[in-house]
Amino acid sequence: MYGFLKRYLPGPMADVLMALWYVLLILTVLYCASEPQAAFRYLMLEAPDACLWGAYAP
Amino acid sequence: MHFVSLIWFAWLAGTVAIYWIVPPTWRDLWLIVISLAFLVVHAPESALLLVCFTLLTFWLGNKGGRHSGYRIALAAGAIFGVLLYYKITVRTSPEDLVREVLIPMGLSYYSFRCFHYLLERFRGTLPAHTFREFLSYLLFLPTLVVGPIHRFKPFLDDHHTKRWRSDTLSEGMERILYGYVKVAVLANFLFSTQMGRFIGSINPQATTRILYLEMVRGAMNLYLQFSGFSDIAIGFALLLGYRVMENFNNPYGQRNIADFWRSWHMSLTSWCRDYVYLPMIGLTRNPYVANITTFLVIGLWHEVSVRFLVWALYHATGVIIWREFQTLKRQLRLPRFPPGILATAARAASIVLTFHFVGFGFTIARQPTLAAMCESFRVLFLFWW
Repeated sequence: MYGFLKRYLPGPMADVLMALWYVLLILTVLYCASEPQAAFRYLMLEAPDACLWGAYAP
Repeated sequence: MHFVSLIWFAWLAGTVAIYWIVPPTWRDLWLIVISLAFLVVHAPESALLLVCFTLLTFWLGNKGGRHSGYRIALAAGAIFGVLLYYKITVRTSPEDLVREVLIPMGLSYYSFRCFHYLLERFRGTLPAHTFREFLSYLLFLPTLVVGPIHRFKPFLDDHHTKRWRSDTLSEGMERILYGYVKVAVLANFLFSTQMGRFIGSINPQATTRILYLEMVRGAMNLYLQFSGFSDIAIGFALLLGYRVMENFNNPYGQRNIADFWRSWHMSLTSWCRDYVYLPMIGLTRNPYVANITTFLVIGLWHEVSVRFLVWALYHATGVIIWREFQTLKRQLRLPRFPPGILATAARAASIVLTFHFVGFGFTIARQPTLAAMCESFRVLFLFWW
């Protein structure tokens, strides 16, 4: 994606857009991670047990 | 420590920072110590088992002499016995489904790494190495818990050539971020929570629709969770200067079940190809037997139970039917679709069909009993009955 932006956009535009993209992703992860997270075990996804801010109390 | 927690982020950053700060000769030692500490805190039983496996594998694998083959077989047998014991005894009833810790953390992954080491040792393909390098391989923190089941030789190559590179570091951080997007945003938030709420709002009488949506939700959730954690593991390894093997290559975009298995959990399937399928072909000259055996190993690697036996046979049958169909097509010289809208539609239909075949397989693997499997089949495919 960065290579594509660098090729078609002038100056530091590609760097700025990439930085904004990463910030957007980080904020989305932080927002969504406050929901209960399922404990992972391959093929058997367990009940929600935690969120980003600590143990999840249902 | 949950993978999606602030403590985990802090711990990960601290581990990587100290790793690059200490002198190069101490780096692998630091990783070994931190991996062991991680296991001792979270799964002491697993730490003990891993230490025993490591000593046993290295000692019996490198003893040499006239009976080296027997010693290697003894080590592999002992590890297989422990793995089988946990796989059989841990999950014996449907009530066990709610237990959080089922087998020692990472046992399935590191036992397969030990088998790989022993088998390659037996074949004599491993380069010269020290015990410390072997220890670094088995106790490699990023892949300890959820794989991938990486191989010893590429690991050793990276071990000797790794150095601080800002582009590798940046690639690793990007990979971890995309992994977290898959796990936290797409899998947990979108498919697990939001789609779960939507399914919960459907009239309970519409069982077929509910089970179908649950199938789609389960298949997407599983793929995104697993590939997300694989991305985090691969990214973490990149931060330490190692490039471990990929685990997924767009599996739900594949056009048939054989291609699906070439792109799903690739580290396990390539392991099974090298150490089960090819030896079985050499032994029996029968691709059907080799196919079924390989899928049985894949199924029972997940869990020794009737449902995973059924799941393995279901996929083995799917792959055999697909291969036979290809042979028949060649024999009958059936024409291909000419390029255009018809070919695109056929390609899209084959992708959708493959996804549904796989998705229903996951539904089988989630059912606690054979009766529940039959009931889910009836609800999905014979709903008018």
